[in-house]
Amino acid sequence: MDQKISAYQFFILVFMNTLGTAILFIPTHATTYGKENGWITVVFATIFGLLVIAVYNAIFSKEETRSLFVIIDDNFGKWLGSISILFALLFAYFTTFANLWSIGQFVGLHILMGTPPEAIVLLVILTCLVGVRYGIEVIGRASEIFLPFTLISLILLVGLVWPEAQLDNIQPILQTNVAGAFVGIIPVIGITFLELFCLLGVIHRVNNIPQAKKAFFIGGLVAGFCMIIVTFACIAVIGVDGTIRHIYSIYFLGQNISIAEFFERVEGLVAFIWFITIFFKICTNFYFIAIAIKHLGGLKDFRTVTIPIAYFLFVSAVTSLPNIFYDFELMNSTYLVYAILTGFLLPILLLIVKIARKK
Amino acid sequence: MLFPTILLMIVSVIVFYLEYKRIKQKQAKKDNWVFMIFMVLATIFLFVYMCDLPTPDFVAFFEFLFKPIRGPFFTWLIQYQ
Repeated sequence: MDQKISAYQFFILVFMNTLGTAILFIPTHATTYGKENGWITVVFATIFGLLVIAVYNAIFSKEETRSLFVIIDDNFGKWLGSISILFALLFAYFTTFANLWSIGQFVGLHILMGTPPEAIVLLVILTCLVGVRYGIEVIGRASEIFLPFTLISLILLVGLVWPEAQLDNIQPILQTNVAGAFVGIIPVIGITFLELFCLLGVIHRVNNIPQAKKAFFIGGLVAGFCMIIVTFACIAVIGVDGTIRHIYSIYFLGQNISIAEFFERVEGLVAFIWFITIFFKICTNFYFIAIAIKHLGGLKDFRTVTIPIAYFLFVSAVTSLPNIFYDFELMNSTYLVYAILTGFLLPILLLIVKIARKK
Repeated sequence: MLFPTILLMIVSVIVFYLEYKRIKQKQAKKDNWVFMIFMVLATIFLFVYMCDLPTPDFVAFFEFLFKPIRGPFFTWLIQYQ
């Protein structure tokens, strides 16, 4: 029987997918380009991101029951369609192992100091493998359970650092680094909204497509709002230089929490938010890879390839990226180009062909 | 690395057998073949990594794929940092 998820569960998956990785890297990325206008960069990135989501939504008509892969095949033809799906599949693979690598590095450096990143990556990939093999319905239900904890942690984090905020840090507003603030939109969108392309592989599983489209939009909006608040808090509390200097500036933000010398250093909250969001992001991308291979190979069940994919992901995650500086360069070059091609140009092309074929 | 390598290979064989049996019960011949090919490749991939031999570098592959675009794009982008 086909697994189905509700529009609310899809909304949570959109929220988690946008915030995973982004919550940790966006403040640094946006501030590197926009300096004190970093939070404005995220505001505009959210607006453009919502336009990207509007394009994604336009691919699926109200009565659509076909999956993304079938739509691609129907519009591009068998050969070109298969190449496009392979291209998107490799993007999802790239995203997944880069995320796995990130979590291995972060946990190994800040939380379980001294633990080899390989061990952390292995634990995460095994957990995700179990989730993916249970199917999207279980992932959706699990996301429902974890959403309140994520939101509470996020609200606590931003609320508790508020007394430390200095509004001088965000001034002058749009007086200097204006070009940087606008150019910065591109890398910010690249690691947030363009990665949502993988969720198009799940959207046909939602039991109500019009509601799913609404959930897609609202999920992006809420996640964008959270990113704006977090970036604003980072710049206001630790300043522009501090935000740029710290790779995980939001984690440093958590270390700054000090309420009446009683409630101190609750950076664990950040780690918690990140674990949860990135888990669902990896699961969704992993699921996308599995169903894409299922479609390309004409298989009966996507579970057939999940175990070998987990092996591949594990080895790629521990061998492909040497350090965080290389990762940052990658996020601004190769990965960004790939994200634009897959997350923006491919859907636009698909939409144009779809409209042209209708006429 | 000898002990983890042997351990992982044993785990791989067990997983291979269990999953093979599961797919066989479903009478999906194509699935079985695809699984076997993928699993053999994945196990070789893992074995190569565990033996500290050079594994295929996916990032280098993607960098090669977008070589004409990524260089100029990156140069243009970082001037705004």
